[in-house]
Amino acid sequence: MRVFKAMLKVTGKHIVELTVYFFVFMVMMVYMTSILGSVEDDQLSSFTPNKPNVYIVNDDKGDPVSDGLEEYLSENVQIVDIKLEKDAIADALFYQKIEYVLRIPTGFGDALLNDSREVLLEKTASPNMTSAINADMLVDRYLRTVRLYADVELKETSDQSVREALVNQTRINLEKSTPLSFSEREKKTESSDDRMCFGYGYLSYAIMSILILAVTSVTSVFIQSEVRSRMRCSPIKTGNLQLQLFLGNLCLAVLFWLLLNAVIALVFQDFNLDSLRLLLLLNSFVFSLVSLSLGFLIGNLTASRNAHNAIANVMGLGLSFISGVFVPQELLGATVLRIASFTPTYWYIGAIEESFRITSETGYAIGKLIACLAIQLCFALSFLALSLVVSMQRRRRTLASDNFELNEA
Amino acid sequence: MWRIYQYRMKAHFRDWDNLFWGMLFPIILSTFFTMAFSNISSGDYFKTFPVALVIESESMYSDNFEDTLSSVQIGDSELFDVRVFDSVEKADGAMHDEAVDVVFIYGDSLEMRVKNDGMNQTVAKHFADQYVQSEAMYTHLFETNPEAIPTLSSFEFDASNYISDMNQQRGDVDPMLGYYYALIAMACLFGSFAGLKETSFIEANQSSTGARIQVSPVQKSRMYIGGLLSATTLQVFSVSLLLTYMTFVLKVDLGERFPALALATVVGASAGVALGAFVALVSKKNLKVKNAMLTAISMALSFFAGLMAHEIKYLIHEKAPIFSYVNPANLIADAYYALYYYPDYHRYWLNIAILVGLIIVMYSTVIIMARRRSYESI
Repeated sequence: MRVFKAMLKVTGKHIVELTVYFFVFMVMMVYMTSILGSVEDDQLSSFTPNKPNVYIVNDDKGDPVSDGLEEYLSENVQIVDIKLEKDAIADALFYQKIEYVLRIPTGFGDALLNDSREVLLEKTASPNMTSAINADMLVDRYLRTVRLYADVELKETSDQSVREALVNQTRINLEKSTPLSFSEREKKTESSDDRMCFGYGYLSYAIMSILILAVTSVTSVFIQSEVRSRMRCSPIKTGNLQLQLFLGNLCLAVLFWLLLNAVIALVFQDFNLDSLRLLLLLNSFVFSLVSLSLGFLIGNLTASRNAHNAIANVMGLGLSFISGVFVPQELLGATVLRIASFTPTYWYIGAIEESFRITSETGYAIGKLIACLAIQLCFALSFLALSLVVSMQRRRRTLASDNFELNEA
Repeated sequence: MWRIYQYRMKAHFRDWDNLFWGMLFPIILSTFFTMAFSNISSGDYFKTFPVALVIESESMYSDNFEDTLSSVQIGDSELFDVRVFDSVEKADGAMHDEAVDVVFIYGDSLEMRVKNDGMNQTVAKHFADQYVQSEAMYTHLFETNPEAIPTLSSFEFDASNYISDMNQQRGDVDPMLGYYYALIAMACLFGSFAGLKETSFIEANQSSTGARIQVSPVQKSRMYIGGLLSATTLQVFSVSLLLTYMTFVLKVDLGERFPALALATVVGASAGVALGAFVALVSKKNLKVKNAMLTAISMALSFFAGLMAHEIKYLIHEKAPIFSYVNPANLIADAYYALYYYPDYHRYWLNIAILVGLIIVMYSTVIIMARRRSYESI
């Protein structure tokens, strides 16, 4: 086990580097799951909101017509209640914290009833957004109904009580709605489950990035040409050597897996090991194996640190995006999902969903979960096999060049 | 100095692994982004959507509803694409296959069926409510106030006459763009690796080349300027490549203000290289640890600029505005965002000015740390 021991020594020398990696991904993971996890419902539904987020400034307080508009809207939209400056409104619109800003200027109530177009509502909304069209329809409906009642029933509208009656009548009319039924109601999971799902999904990003970076930084020591030459003249077979290296890396992977899962447990304040938790642990362990063998392959391919960084990023971030870690799978297109199904992250996310269904629905078959795990294991094995092929190839190539140098000499 | 610059450029171009990955990886990532977002952005914008109509008992009212349904317009296009079915089951079937989003049933009164909730469903519900309300109002008025009928039939009202649109922003709202801006910021910050490489190439305690260079009769400032300039050139080239790819292949709308975009790219790339040189001199650890630190720093800064979730950039801006103004990744991302979204250049210049300030601070530290540094023994 000499190589294994040497491997652990090398790992020990990289401890600062590994700690830095662990720390940064841990911070990001904690931040993501705690901050975003808590607004997860909001974030998910922001893609298909039922009620647009509207910010109302009412400068015409006291006028029944204007107050009525504010009340009517607040019952039918999501009112956002924050103080905002001009730039902040534009930002909030871009990030869809607000989808519609409506300012009711002083005197608007009078202007509407007298049909003078001197005072206008001021709306700020991005054109063509469905949510803004929605809010437009609400405003339109209110204004139209008020005007219609005013035109038909009353001629003199300056009196406050007459106006109140008018607004009341409008509101009664506007409360009428169409009966609505659902043809098939989709089952919704509880939001704590959603958070957990998101947390474990994000774990895959952390595991993959950390393991690729950590494993490559250690493995690349062993593929430097001098070290490699020295190892080649030792009486250890390449296969054995690679196996010991892999075992050393495995220890590293297990360590990171344990640490990251501990962090997740701390974030959720959830320490009981029920069947769901055990399945998720198993799944993340299998995924650690995949990331480990991928890191091992990359470490064997190139010794360039920049390349390692770049590949870790492409693999960690890229696969997370197309496999449903950052963007929920339901929102991804069919083609993208088909492409993603050629990556291990997709099956990791699939296994999380299957685990939830197995533990929450009685009588749900376990077959799909096993398939998801088995496919991940296949990925791990094929990456490992590939890295062995690469290292053999490299050996042959260096042998050839050494022979050439000998001949030259 | 010019010669040093030339040689360093040559050296960069021969370091094939670094060059290839440094340029390729943001391009690959942006492609992944496009794949992941292809379905999302389009969902927020209004499109004509298919609805089913089932008429259970035909009457004057139902004809009127059918006419109204197919004539509603938003802008220049129709709101609904109406498909008539003869039974609720068939319409439900179509909804199950997602051929239609909503089923309207017109029997004694108007009813609606949906499969799940969503924006289109909400719009349809608003429409149906409005229809029911006007119907109720007309019936009510017919009964209580028949002399109002002439007013009623001549009533015309256009709400848009009472609303002025105050939106002054340039581009359409698309939060997904935030991911691309953060990616550009990350690509800029990855220039820090080149900055680190240049510095460790010159400093004697970092590499054997550095030890040799220390005893050469070339002024250290020249070595530094030449080296860092070459790293910046390379980084500008690599980010420009990314921008070109985004604009022409992925069709990401970056705002088409090319001179300003170019300036942002140069400043952003310089900030990345400066960050590398800064970390290289401030920390006394070995190259590997510094590399890890830079990976961590650039990832964390890009994370706070919204690389993994675009809300984070907004959240930080709300909750910790000072941090968002000293985070170079956020400043770079924000400069591109301002170019796309804001009609004036005020915010853009603010970002660029702070970035330039940061670069000056970082390089001043580099100068203070590196000048007159000599090594007694290594």
